[in-house]
Amino acid sequence: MLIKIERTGGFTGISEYCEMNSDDLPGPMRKTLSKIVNGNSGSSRSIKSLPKGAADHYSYRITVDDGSNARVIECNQYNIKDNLKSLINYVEKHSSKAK
Amino acid sequence: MNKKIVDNGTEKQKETAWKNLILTEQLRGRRQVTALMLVMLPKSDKLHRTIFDAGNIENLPGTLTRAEGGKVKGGKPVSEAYDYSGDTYKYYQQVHDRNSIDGRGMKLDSSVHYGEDYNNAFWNGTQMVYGDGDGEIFDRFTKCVDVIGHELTHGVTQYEAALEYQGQPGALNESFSDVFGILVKQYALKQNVDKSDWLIGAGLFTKKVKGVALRSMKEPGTAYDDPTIGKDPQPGHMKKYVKTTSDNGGVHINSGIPNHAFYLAAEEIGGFAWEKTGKIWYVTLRDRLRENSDFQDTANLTFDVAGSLYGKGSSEQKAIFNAWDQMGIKIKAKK
Repeated sequence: MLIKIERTGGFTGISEYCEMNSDDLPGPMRKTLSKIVNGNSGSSRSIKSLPKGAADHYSYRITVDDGSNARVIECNQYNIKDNLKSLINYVEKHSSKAK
Repeated sequence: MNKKIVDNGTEKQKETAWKNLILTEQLRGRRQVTALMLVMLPKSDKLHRTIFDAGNIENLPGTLTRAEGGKVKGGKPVSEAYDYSGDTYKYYQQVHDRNSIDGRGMKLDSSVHYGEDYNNAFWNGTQMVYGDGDGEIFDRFTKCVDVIGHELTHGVTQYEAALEYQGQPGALNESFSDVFGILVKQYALKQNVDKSDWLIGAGLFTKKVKGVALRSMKEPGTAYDDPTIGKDPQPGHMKKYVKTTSDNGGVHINSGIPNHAFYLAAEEIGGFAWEKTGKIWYVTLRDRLRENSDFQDTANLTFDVAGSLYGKGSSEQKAIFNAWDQMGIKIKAKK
């Protein structure tokens, strides 16, 4: 499966994109991925999930595509689950940068 | 129950109860009532800064490193966060008679060295947070006084109009932070409209990047054009408004439009931008805007405020009209 990560927002307003094949993930990360695909990582990018008045934070959109189905997760730096954050950090460090 | 505590409680209990009553009124949008009630809260008249070192992890606030009036230590990020918070406080106090973020002497807390190679600065609703940058694209985020002015102004907006952080209200939220960020810089350097570079984050990029700043209020879309980070996407007219689901509906992109309106109005009025244009923008933010105000509302309200402050048909009011008109927004004046 192809994992695409899009990070937007922040003071700079400069987005970052990266992607990786799930075959290249270590074992624990594949478990996280499977949770995402099966819909267990409910979060939201909605402004209702933000602390009052918060600004210039990061927002994330993670797309997991198995070729026939694409699952999309959206969240922000305040409501992102720890295991998803670890996955994103891993992909950002080890991936090819997409455009 | 809160009203009973206000009458009968200890001083500490009274303060908490008043805060709860004020929050209720704020949630109901009754700003005039809130303003009256805020007078009852004890306040500080002094600048009170605290700088924390987050130790390059993403936990807040970190270790206390410098307190108000405390010894200078901790290197440039600590000194810059301390000094530039002070400049921002002085700007709001001396120009707008405003006592800190909440108007009541709220402490200014900042954490520096947040995260690793962290290319960002943000306001989390309670404090400012600054990364060190990765050294490849970005330098440390405390380097520019306008960045600190920008972040602190998000706090001011939170306590005033509370513009929702999405779509046009979010782009306005961003724009007010850029506007007062640049005014803090201009005030500190005593720059008039011609001397200012009107750039947000000038000096944040490393020398490896082809760009002068993150945003240009004078020429939106021209601040950078680099093979790694791309081109400055800001529009300078409503015809080029960017519809996107990223960045909360492009709040850092479409802020280019109200930013440019401010620049044009300030240029036409001339002199020091904080004196008249800054005052119009501040009064609009403090008294007139609401959580869901959009660009048209802001145009109408800044025009109305200019009329109240400087007279209907005044050159100042005409400058406001012309600025928004050049953005493709026609003022709909109150009759």
